[in-house]
Amino acid sequence: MKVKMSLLGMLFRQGLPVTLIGLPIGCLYVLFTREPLAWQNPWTALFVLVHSISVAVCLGRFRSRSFGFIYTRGYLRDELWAHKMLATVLAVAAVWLPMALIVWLPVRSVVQDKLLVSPYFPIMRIREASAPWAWLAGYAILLPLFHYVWIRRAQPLRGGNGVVLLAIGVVIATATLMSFRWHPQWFRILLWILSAVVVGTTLIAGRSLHRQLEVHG
Amino acid sequence: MIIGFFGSLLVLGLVLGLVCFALGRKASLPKSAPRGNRTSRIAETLILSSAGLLIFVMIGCLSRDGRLLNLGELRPAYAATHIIIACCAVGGLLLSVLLSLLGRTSAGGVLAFVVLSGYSITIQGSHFGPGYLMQRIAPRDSYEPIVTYTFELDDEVQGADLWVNDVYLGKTPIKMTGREFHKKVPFLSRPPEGYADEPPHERQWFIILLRVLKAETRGDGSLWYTDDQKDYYARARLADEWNRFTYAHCHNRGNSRLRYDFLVRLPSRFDSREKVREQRKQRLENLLQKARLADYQVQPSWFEAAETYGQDGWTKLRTLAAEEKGFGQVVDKWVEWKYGVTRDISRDKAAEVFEKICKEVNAGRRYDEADPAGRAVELIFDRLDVRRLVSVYEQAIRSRRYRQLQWELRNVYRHLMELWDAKLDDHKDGKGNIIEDRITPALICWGSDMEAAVKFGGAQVERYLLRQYRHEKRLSGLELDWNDLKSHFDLHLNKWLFHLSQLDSDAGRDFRTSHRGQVLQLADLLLNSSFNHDVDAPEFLFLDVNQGAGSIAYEFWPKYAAAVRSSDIWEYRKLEKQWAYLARLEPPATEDMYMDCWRQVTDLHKLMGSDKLAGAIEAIPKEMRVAVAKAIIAELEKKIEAKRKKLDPERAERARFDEHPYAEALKRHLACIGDEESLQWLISALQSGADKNYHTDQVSRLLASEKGRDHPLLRVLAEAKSAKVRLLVMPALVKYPTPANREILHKLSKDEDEQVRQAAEEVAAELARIEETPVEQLVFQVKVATSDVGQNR
Repeated sequence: MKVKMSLLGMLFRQGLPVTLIGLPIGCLYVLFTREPLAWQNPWTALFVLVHSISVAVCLGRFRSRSFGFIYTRGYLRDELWAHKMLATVLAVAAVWLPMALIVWLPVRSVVQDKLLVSPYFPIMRIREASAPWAWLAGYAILLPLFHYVWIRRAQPLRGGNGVVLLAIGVVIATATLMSFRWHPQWFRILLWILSAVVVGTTLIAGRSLHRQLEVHG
Repeated sequence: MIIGFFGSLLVLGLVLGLVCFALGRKASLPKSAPRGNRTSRIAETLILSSAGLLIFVMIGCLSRDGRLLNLGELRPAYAATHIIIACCAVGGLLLSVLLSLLGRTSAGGVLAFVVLSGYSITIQGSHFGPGYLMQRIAPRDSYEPIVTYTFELDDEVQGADLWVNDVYLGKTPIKMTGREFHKKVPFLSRPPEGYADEPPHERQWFIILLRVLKAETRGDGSLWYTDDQKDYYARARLADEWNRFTYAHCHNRGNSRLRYDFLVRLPSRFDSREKVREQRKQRLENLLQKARLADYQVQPSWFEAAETYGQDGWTKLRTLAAEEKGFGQVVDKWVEWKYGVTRDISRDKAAEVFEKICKEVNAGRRYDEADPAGRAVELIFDRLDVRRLVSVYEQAIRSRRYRQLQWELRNVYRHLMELWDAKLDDHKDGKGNIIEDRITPALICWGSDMEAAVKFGGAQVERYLLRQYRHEKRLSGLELDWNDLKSHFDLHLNKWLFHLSQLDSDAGRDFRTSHRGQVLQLADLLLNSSFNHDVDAPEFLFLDVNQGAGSIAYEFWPKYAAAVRSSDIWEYRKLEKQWAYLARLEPPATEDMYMDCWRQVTDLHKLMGSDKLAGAIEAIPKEMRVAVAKAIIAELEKKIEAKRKKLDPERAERARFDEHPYAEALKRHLACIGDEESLQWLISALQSGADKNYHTDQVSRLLASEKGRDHPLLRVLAEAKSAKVRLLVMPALVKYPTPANREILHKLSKDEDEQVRQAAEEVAAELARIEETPVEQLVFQVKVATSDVGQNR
């Protein structure tokens, strides 16, 4: 399958407002927050959650006219799904990458050290380096799930609200997980396996159900 | 941050709810529409199962009261209750999964939520729910922690018969559960019959301060368990001999709230065992005498014998090595014998030895820097690749294995890092070293081990502490954030101030100078803490004593002196502590300051004897000591003279003995440290036999003690004119046959006096006997002495 730049551009533009709002919020927070960033940081987790929901909502408004318009331009359903996923990746990268670079380069460390005279920097720079990967993992779990939610709701099938409840359940499970400070090694392995199952399932099932999507013209 | 994180979650939840509501309204599918196809059912089932499994594992295994991974620690009935509840939860989850598989994801999701919430509330309780449900569901008392008692003698031998509250428990070591113990042994609110009749030193009974389980009731009626202490009256008999001591303590070896493993170690005070211990001590002394006689050139068999004394043998050797150079060689040879470590060890061999030590530490779960392994590490550390060591240690800290890394192994690495840090600090040119650059930040980032980070020091930790202090400058108090709090003694101190005050670096000195007021306040708090029983001055006061009269220690002196004087420690300790403080202030500490301390002593009897005064004065540096001692002697003699003038001769002679022994003790001390005038006085006193051989006894005691090993007085007395005085050195020559003392003995064996010659020959014969004793005979063997009383009872 070839990447159609015009389609990708159009889909990316749909999520542009979210990107434009999320980018400065995320970057400013990462730059100026005093406490060292860690994967359990509740504010960045909340940011990832809201950003993921927003991206999924922007790309999955299946009752909107623009949605119907794109789906009646002769693109294959799989093509559309793949481009939506690609647009999602770009929307996430547009926010996540600058935030990660601020941490890694280390703009944050310099600002905190020189400008804000934070005690934690530059010492904590080495520890914070892993935080962006945790955010990315959060996006990787949540976005396929939220895309699955709207794809499932766009089916001519009952039980669409159940999948919303399911998504809320997954978010609660993640929040509960974050409240535990220390996880043994076996649990971390279990966590990776279950996360992979959820991500894999939502992607495969999402792609499959996307083919039977009911579009309201 | 105005609404807080949970407020934000609430808002988000409301928004989500509204979105769902709006979406739900728009969804207007006919009721005849199917409930999802195969793909959606499978997908939703998988998602629900994954999330449900994750939460279930977190509640059942990782939460505070989740016991599924340590069911073995619970009583069987309680473990069964946990299993049944977990099975119910799993059943509910399976049902929800089934519902999801049938296309009823909403119902499945709600059911899973209810089941998991119920599971969590049941095993953990909740503030708003019906309290701790587990105690209502589980059989009565099944949730009581399991208690085990072990009674044993703190000796190599066991097998003593033990009675507690007059109930025979068996032969030590005795192990029994708490329930068994309490069923068998009644609690006595008053001492048993006959206890009060016997005088304490003849009493067969002793008190065990036993820790027992105590149940407390929470506000919701549920129980929680803690431990309390109760007195139990016990007797122990070994081979027809009663143990004689007063108290035995009990401590918990377990580290779980579910199991208490109480150990009661009974001090072994049987006369027969005391004799064995005395023999053991004598054999060890003989072993050391053999080493001295061999000019510290000992054979492997000597090490084999010394090793049978366990930790005592090694500790004794390390202590001696600090004062007797020859034993320093013996220590290193022991390490060579045990680990093959020589001073010119190759890098590969050093790495091999290090690996061996790590394995030993892993297996034995013990590492002490003062052990042979610790000495081996000291000898090989600079042959090991510091970069590799730093990488391993840093990786361990970064990978969160730091807390899991075995405590003892962590100590090995910590010791290595300290040795390397000290070595690198010696050669540094104003820059940090690899340990300060890599280990210190890692310890702050991942290990949260501030103590270790401060110990290694370096620019990074200094900057970190200074900046933290800039954010929180309050001295102490519970209102400090936990991150800024350092609990020390009974105090809640500003962590940053505490650590900054102790930095032994330029940054530390600058800090103490610029924040002098707060540092002094901190010192005052630490000094006057009710937990500082010995009124020890904080060490950081002495880090800048080179500033002389401008140092904080000098400024703090009046406060310290006042605190010591008002404390309830022994009077001679007060004197000793004040003098020791002044000694550390040298040179600005003047003779007058030392004498001021002395003048505070209003009643000489409170000094607990003249020996204590002579001991206390040793805290003063030698040159100053002579001046101070002479000034005290002059004051004492002035008092004696004043009494003589004031009282009639008979009463004056009696009253003279108030001050006289103190003056003489100081003179003897001065003679011992080489003061010529006092030495002449002592020798003439010894020769004249004045004061009914009092001086002879004192000197003999001194020479027979550890101090007699290489005392300067030894040579002076050996060369004294009087044969009687020369004879005084003989016990020290037997006890400490060092090369120098053997030389003295050799001279005395040719003494002109017959009695001295004979005594010297006897000493030589005794030494020859020790030299000829095979090392194998000096091995310490445990002979198990048991009693048959238990069987005959």
